[in-house]
Amino acid sequence: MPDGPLIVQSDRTVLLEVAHPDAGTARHELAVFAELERAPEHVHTYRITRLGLWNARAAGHSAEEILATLDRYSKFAVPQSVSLEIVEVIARYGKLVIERRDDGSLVLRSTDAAVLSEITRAKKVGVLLNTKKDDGTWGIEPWARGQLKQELIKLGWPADDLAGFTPGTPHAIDLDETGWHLRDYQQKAIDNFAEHGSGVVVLPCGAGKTLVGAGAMATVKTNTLILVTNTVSARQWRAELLKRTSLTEEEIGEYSGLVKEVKPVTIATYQILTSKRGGVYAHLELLDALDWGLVVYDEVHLLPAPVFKLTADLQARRRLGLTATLVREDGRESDVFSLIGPKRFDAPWKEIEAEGYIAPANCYEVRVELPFTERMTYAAASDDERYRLAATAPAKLDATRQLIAQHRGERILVIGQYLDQLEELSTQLGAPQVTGATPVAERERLFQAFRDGEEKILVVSKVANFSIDLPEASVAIQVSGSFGSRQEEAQRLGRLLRPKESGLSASFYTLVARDTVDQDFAQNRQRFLAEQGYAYEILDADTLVA
Amino acid sequence: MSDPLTLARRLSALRDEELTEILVRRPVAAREVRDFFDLADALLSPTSVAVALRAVSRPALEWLATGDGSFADLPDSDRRMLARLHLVETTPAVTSTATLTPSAASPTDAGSTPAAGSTDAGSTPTAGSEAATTAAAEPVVYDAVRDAAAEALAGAAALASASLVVADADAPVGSPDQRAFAAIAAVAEIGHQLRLAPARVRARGGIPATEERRLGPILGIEPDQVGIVVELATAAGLTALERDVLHTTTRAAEWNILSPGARWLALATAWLDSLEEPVRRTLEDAGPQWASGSRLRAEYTHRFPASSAAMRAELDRIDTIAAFLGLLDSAAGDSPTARSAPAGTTPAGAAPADTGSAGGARADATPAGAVPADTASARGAEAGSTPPGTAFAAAAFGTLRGDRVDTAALDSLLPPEIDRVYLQHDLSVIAPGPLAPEIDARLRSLAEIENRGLASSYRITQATIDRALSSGETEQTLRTFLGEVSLTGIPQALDYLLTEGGRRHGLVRVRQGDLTLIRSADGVLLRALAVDQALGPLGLRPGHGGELVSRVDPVTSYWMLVDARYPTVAEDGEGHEVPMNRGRVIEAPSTAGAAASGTATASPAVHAAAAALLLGLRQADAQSADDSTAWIARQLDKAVRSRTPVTLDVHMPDGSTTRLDATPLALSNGRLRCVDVRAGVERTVPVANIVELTTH
Repeated sequence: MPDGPLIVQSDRTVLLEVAHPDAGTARHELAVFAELERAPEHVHTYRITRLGLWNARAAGHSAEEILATLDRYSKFAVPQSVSLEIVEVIARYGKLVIERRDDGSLVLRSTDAAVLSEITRAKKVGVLLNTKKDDGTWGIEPWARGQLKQELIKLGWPADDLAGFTPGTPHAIDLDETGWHLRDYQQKAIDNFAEHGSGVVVLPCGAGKTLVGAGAMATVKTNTLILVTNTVSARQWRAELLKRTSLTEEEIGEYSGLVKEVKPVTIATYQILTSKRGGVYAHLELLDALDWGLVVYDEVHLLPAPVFKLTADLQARRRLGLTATLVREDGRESDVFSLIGPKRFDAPWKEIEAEGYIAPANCYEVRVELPFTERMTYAAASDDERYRLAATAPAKLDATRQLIAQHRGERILVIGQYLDQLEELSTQLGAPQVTGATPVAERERLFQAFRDGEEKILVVSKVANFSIDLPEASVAIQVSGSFGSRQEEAQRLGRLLRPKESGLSASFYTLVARDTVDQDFAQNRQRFLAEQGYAYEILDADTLVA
Repeated sequence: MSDPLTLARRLSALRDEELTEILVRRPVAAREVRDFFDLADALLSPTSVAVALRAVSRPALEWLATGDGSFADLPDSDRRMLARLHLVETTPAVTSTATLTPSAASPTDAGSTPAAGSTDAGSTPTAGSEAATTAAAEPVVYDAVRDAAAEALAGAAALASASLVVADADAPVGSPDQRAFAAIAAVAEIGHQLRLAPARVRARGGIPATEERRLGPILGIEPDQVGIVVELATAAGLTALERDVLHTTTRAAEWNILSPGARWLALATAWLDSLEEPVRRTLEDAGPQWASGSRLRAEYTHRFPASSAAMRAELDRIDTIAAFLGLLDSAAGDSPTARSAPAGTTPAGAAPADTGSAGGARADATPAGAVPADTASARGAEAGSTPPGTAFAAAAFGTLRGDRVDTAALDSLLPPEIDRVYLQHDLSVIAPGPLAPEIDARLRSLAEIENRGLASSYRITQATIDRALSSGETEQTLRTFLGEVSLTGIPQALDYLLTEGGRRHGLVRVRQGDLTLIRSADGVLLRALAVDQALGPLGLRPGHGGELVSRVDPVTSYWMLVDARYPTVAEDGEGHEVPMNRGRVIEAPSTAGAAASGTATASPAVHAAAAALLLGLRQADAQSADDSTAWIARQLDKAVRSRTPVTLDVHMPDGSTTRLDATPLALSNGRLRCVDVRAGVERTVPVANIVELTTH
């Protein structure tokens, strides 16, 4: 079809022209099988991946439907190589099926002898199978369900896992929707998950992922293990569950470095699960402590590698992954697919913003001129010293002061990477700081004081990058970061995105030393958010008006 | 008289240029050739004959093998070929006194001269010589040639029957218009890439695998297709070698501004024109049939049954390139039989398959203008129903024949070009379709290209803006250009970077002169340069006028400053700005795209070896008084070494001739010592008295 909103490229990317009258419907249909990579203001980029196609197939879509969508909305002829690839990839799904027999044993079945022959000859698959039941069926080692799915994905033959889930010990959980309701997208995410029993939900920071988790728990109504990034996050989950569900204090346990409680709903940290004593994981018994019917993985993009292995052993349980940025620096997205499950829901940040569920945010890059001495020091420094020198330039202090003055009365986070820089800022600004060295109780106290408005400014390190719920924060001043980390930038902005009772928009400032490598790293850091449609305005520090 | 002796005499009688031609056309190992007898032996060896027969057509090969019919019935080109390759003895009476005057070379063999005795129109002997009258006689086929021809025909028959059941898995992917577009995009891209970073080629030719792996994704093709792109670009003169390094040429810029159809046509015709004449002739004759999916190998090996395995592989490669260019409609839908059967024998059921284009209307429609009128009528193609690959092929062959081809019609087969882009806040630039080349080129000068395809994306940074400013743009020209091409205005961040770039541009100035001077109006900046570790290799020291002096040349100094992210401009001795570009192009070779047939394709090394061998042959010939005696002595020497029994006809003092069955023992001082087999005694025979020798 000529003049459609899509351009299908031979590298399997699909561009969507947002201004096209058919863009909305095209995006809706495209999202079924293609991953959204970038969503800046005019042209969105999707990618057709194997995982995306298998997701679509798992959801019941055929290659013909997918090709029809592309043909219907494409501006140019769909490259034949792409069409062939789609047909071929889709055809691979379902050739292998994992089933549970009446005696409880797991089997791998296929009606395609060639495929079965190929995969059983693979070394890494062979050890996961035990006996050949008949020409088309092999037994699976009881512990190998997850690992087998991982290996099959690597071989390009994803298994359709029909073995079902262990129901877990039933536990009554209901949402307490007094004064609030699940939003449509949250309900949709829950429904998509519940339909399949495992998978990942991707929502922007502040869009209510915890509530999606709570909703899933209320749907499954079973003993639940929740894995989170740190203790503060664990306590936020606990508070949120107490507030939004019928669960009581007695039903929710914390399993962390500080507390070891196992209750029908247990919230554990990744750190405690992966901590070792004498070379062995010391807390694995938690996984079998109760008959969990659901495991929730918060910030699944941070799931540590060892937990993947543990997860492989948890394949009989329902699994829900939650994240804002399904971008893994270690490239293990396929492991998330095979071990947690396919992506069940995703929504562009700007779409949620347009619906008013996250606060609108303005992003600024503020260029700070280095004074003579700092400029000379920087010029004379070696390459590996330059970023730190530029990132921690004392000249950023004045700009920070001006911005704080500009946003007087608002709740402001000053975020940085280097502790000595944060110490200096804390002293100069007269604001408390929260770093990894701050005791958990003190952290919670300071965060609460910030929420209550007793503290207007907090100087925070990367401990505040994730999972910290500070709804009234409306300004973030990022003075330094982890080089070019796009994910960190997005998560830091995420601290500001809870809709404000004050109705204020969020303002996210990044201070950058002009004409230094700080500028280059900043540009890279901004890419994720820019690709989500956030426009960075570039300002000169000397134009800031206090 | 034996074949080698006959051929040796014939060769020794050739003029130097004629002999050079045969040495170039049929190279031999020089170390094994001391005289014309050695050369004759070498040319009649099974290997050499088999190689020579590769270029011989089926009718000529059948005539060589069977002798059925008359030599005169063969086509001119075949008779010329056989004579030129010295596979037949066309002038039995040729002696060292027989001479021919060279005639004008045929159109397809510029620079070569016809062999003695050839009778075709293109090489008619012009002297009223004895040879001219004897050439009409039925030529004699050398035994070695007859045997090899029969063997080649038998082998070809076996091969044909085997290939009928061998399916080809390498069907081209994509419709012809998609492939044609991808081909011109890839060639354009390699031009851009080689301009920035010329590629070294391997000693035995071709791009190194590492380079193929690097370039493949950039060109949007598989790594093993990079060689195809290079071949197409080189045939069209868009890239060329300079001391084993592949560069973009000045012609690339001219090609780049042609319309898409004209760009494709230039590539296709140059490539077709670079093929060897028999291959090109096969393609041209097969034309749309070939372009509809019949396999070149099948067609060619049917015509030239003695073609080698290497040639068959080469034909497959040519087929692959043709498919890459979009000349094949769809081999994917062909049956194995259809693909292996020669033209004219293709089963009816193996008619060209659907083009396979998923693109709908445009890919299925072929404008009448894309097929030259005479071609269309000659082959019965109908406008509107001609598959795109056939239309492309018809246009290319039509151009080669000198027909006027409407490139606008070819344009309509390819995706239309656009001239507007989206500028986005994330500093990306998206061209939602194939961008007009001149806009693409300008965008590349101020942005890094990130993705290429039907649509392209670019990313602008401060560094890319600085680069554009250094190459001669100004802040205003950039604003004007971006304003003109943008569908969405100029985002604030980009506006800031443009302003910033304009403000900083030229803060550091590198002046050419006796010394390399680095100046700046910003004293602090100049002091920063002096202490910058990254600029250590420049050895910057204060000059007399407040400037810095670099110890290295201005160009190196300039690029080092640019790499260290300083806003640098180069200026001449008078302070005028000098545009700087990293890229380099070389002059296009004048011979690019020329026909590559005959001796013209032989490398300079082959010509040099032929010249050296010719010199040695002439010297050896001058030292040999009587070729008959020399021939017999040579045969005797061989027989002595191998203890081979021989039959000798010996001239006796009484004038009679006697026959002697002998086993040779030694040969020295013009005498043969041998055992008379019948008498059982040892005898000594003067070699000069031996008039005939037969080995057993």
